[in-house]
Amino acid sequence: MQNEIKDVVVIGGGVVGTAILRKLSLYNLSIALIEKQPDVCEGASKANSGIIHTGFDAPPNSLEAKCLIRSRDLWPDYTEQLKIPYIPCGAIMVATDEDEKEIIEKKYIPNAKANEVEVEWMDRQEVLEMNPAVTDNVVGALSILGEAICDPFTATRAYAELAVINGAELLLGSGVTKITVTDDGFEIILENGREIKTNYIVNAAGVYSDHISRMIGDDSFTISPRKGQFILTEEEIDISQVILPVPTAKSKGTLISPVVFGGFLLGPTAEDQEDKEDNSTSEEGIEQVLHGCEKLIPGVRDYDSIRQFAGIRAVCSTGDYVIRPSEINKQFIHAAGIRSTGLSASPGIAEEVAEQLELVGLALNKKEDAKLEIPNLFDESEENVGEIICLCRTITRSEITNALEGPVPPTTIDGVKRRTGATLGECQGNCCIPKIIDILDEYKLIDELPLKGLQNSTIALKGGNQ
Amino acid sequence: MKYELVIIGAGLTGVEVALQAKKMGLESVLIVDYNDQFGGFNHSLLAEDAFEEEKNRMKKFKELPYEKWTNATVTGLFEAFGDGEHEINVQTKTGTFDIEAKKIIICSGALEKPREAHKIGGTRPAGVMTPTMALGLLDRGFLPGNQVVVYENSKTSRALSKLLENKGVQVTTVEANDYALHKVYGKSSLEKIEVKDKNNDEIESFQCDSLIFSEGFIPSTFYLKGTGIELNDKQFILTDSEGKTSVDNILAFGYCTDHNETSNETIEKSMKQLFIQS
Repeated sequence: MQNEIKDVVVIGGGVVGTAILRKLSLYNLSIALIEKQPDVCEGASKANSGIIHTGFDAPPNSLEAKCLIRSRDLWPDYTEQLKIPYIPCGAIMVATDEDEKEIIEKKYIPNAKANEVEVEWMDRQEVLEMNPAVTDNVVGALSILGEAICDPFTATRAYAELAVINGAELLLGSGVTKITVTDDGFEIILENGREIKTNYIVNAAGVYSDHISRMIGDDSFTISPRKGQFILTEEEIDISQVILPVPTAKSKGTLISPVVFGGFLLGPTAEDQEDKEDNSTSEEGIEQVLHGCEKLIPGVRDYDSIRQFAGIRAVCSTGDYVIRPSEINKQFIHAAGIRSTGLSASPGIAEEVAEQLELVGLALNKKEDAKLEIPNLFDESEENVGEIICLCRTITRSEITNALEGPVPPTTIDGVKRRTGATLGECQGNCCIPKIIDILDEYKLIDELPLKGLQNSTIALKGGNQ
Repeated sequence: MKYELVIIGAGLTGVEVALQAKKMGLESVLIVDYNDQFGGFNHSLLAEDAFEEEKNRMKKFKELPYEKWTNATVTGLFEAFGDGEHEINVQTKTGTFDIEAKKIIICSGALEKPREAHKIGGTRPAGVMTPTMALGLLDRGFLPGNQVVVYENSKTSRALSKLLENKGVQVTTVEANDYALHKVYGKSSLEKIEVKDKNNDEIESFQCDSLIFSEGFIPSTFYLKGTGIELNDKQFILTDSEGKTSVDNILAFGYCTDHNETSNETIEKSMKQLFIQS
């Protein structure tokens, strides 16, 4: 199989790349996905609000709005087939004075209409009934019923798992160093020296998609990293919906959202920077989040936080998604500039990319035995589920071993976290990581030294007590 | 399964309770603990010189004729109705057991609060860990790093510094009374930390590949949420000065309570009261 020529290689194992891989796995194609990190979901896909946006505020007629609209119809089936935790809680954009109400009426209601998103005005009393923690200053809110929250880890992984079940190859842990254009396709060289021949490439490399594009001499767009800092809290906040601010001319503002696997998220900031990997949090950033959020929900400043993190969004020089063949080589399709709605738009983006591939000559013939559903991997009624490994979150040994036996087994602690919820609690894994290392070792998933998440993120060195 | 007394947690407090139970002549006693060894999360430190008294306590505990389960975590607790028994669910390697207990003493302790709970800026690389995690790695034949900074604020962290030094690790200690952790650097692995002098706000930085840090505690009372046992707003068990919880015949001692450490005298006195009244 080593020298086989692939039909399509997807570069990038985030939510966009895996969604495309899933879509392509439904056809009679030989496909692979290349991800630099040891697991899928290691970039922007793991550090975001987890909201499935309707696109009510997306620029009308943009490609982003189009993909979001297409995705809306696909999500209900996807969440069921891929077993993605999903809560259709709706969102409200809270007006705290008459000026904000006017902005909602003049800008957001018409914008939502243009994107065919159902919205309605919610009066003050109803806002406070549904979300008692919201500020008393509220004059009312724009209710966007279609907004939902989901688990972005599961979404990304489940896309990859279904693709693998349908025969796709996942090449994890080694990034692309070189792409050579050949007579009928491309030759890709990986960091580990492996060569892969393919007829088509899909560039879904997130903040690095401009780098990948330049490897074939295409400099038609540039990606600027934009950092978003978040605060995660497990305090009880009396809200049942996503609470959005009314954006100002200067900033989109920070929101408060329930999280599907427990707790609440506050954030994000929007900080343009040069470094594509600097995901550090800062005192100023955290302060900005608290300052923004306390206008909507008083008291957030006093909440204990179990974790703060930042994600890097891929902001494109063109101002919109870039989903099209490269002008340098038509068999190279971009799925780039997916700014901050990648999770929400991923089903639609995958549809667009498949159509683009077909337009430039790829034959899409339905695979007869292609699966649409992730099988039930374990029986929850199983009596002996083993000891508790993660104390904070009450995660059992069998929940972890089931993840290790799945179609895309994790090889890192963060990989186990994203599949099981272990280490997500208050102690942040400090009590159970050694036990998880034991289990990974038992399943021979540790190469030499245990890794936290990224390439070279060794947790420990040889030389302890034993 | 039915016991006169179930002790939840076999850290140093739970072990003391078990020894006291023996002194009082109790026969039907079960003690359960999440860890794979007794003596608490940092049990492997007890072999060090600084823990002579604790070492003796553990030795006596091992000789007790009681049922002692490791890798056994309480996942549910249902307080008794009227004269009935309390019931707890204990999850173990071989299954989940429903256990009836006339009396329960909760000594499930607390976990170390990690860096993430303190809104300390910077990145989130591998190599930042609590003393418990560092000990867990040492037990498995690993070292946390070659150049380790230990934030010293407890007997545990100080003993750990010594232990690492003895293993040939280059250890830098930062005294918690004088310095606060300020910022963490490094993408995949830890490269540097900054600490802030509490007296003059000056920043100092240290190159390192591992940082051992914790400050404060998270009570291990996860299984008590939604039960009749009242917790305070930080989830510590509300007790009076003698360890009485809001539920009859259930006491709680040590770091899982709002009283932190419980003296051996208090344990003795309260346990005598608990068993004399019945």
